[in-house]
Amino acid sequence: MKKSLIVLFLILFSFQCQNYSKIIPITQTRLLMDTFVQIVVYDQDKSKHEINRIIGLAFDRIQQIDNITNSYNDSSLISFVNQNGASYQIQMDSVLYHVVKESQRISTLSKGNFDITTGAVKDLWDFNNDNPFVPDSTVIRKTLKLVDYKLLSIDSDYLGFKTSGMKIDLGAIAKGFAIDEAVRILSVHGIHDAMVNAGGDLKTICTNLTAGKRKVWINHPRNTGEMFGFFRMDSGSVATSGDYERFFIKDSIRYHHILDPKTGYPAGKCISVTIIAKNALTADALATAVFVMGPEQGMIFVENQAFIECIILYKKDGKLIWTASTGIKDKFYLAN
Amino acid sequence: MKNKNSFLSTIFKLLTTGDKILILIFFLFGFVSLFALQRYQQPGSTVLIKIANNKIYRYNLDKDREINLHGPIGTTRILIHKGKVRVIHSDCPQKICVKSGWISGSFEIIVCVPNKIIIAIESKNNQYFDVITQ
Repeated sequence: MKKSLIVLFLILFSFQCQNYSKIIPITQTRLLMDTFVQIVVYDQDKSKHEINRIIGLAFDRIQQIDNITNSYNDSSLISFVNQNGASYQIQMDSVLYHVVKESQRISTLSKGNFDITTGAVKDLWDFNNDNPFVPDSTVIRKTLKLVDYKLLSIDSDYLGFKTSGMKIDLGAIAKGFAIDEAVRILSVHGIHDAMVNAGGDLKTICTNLTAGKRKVWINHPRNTGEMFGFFRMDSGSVATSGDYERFFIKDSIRYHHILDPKTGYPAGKCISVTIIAKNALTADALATAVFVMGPEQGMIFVENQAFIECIILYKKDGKLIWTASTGIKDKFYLAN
Repeated sequence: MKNKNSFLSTIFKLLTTGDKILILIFFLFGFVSLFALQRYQQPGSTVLIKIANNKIYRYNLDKDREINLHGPIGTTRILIHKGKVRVIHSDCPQKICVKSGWISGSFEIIVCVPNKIIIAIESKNNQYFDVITQ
């Protein structure tokens, strides 16, 4: 009896080892929100068909948010607000209300370094143009009068502009909200080990299945295809803003898409800012805010926030260097 | 220490020669399969291509080739070479996909938003948990 128990224990143990190393995730990738969105599910206790169905529901929610918040889509609700917001108050939608309200909170928190009303200045720069150019400085100065989050008139029912010509651009926050919502849909349907990655901004939820296994790599901002470094993360959200995503070079000067709401020109102090936070909306918006603040002011800001960490890459005397907040400093490793 | 030794010797006394051989076979099997699995898993990587969120194509990453993909705005030509893949030509305006360079890891992706093309690598190695923030 005892002998067979020992043999049985050994057999079960060997099976246990095999299962541990065999996690085959189910992945779906789609083009949404002007980038790729990848949903990876590691949970093993549901059928493949059921997991794919739940992933489909999460994608539906992202599509729904995109239809409301994408200002490049002429038929989105935000485009309608941008066209008519100065003439009359637009009836509020729950998604739009949440995203705009959160934007206002982060604008106040970051003292205006994050501002969704930069839309009018962004239009001047037109980074999606085949032949982008530097706009006239007087035109930028004039348009800056339309950039101020305090000029939004917002309540739970209506949204409008206090000045005509204003434009909202939710590009630095809507993706984060969509990631949070996709993860919420997965959780509601019983998935507890997964990752949603939208163009490099991401959120993960984790069980013992994948705990301790994930490295989050930060792209090298200047050497294409190379990584700068990594940290380990089980659950949480990460977003990065970099000057290498959308840019053009004119007369040896790099003009990128992260504009300083106070000057109307690209913020020049950082190269890349990675924020780690509990939710993706906060990480997404703060990555832009801290990028605009610059490494010194940005680091002071992050150190004063609870549950927020950051890794900032910037140039000093022509050299690429990095700095990180207290909570992540010892956990960040350079590649190679 | 004494207790531990007596515990082990009790177990050892319980085992017959057959049991010992069986345990040895288990260990040998585990050891051999560890290497066998590693050899077996390393190829197997495929390039997954998705066009306009519906058409899906899969190509072996170990077989060098050039492929023309046709999206809504024109052609995207990709090159698979020595276990890596990149976009070498695209009809899109900003050529972000071409500038993305080579990818080879299972967590890397190239996207052409205007031509609605996603190029990803599928493999079963442990890097599958990793992700790139950018």
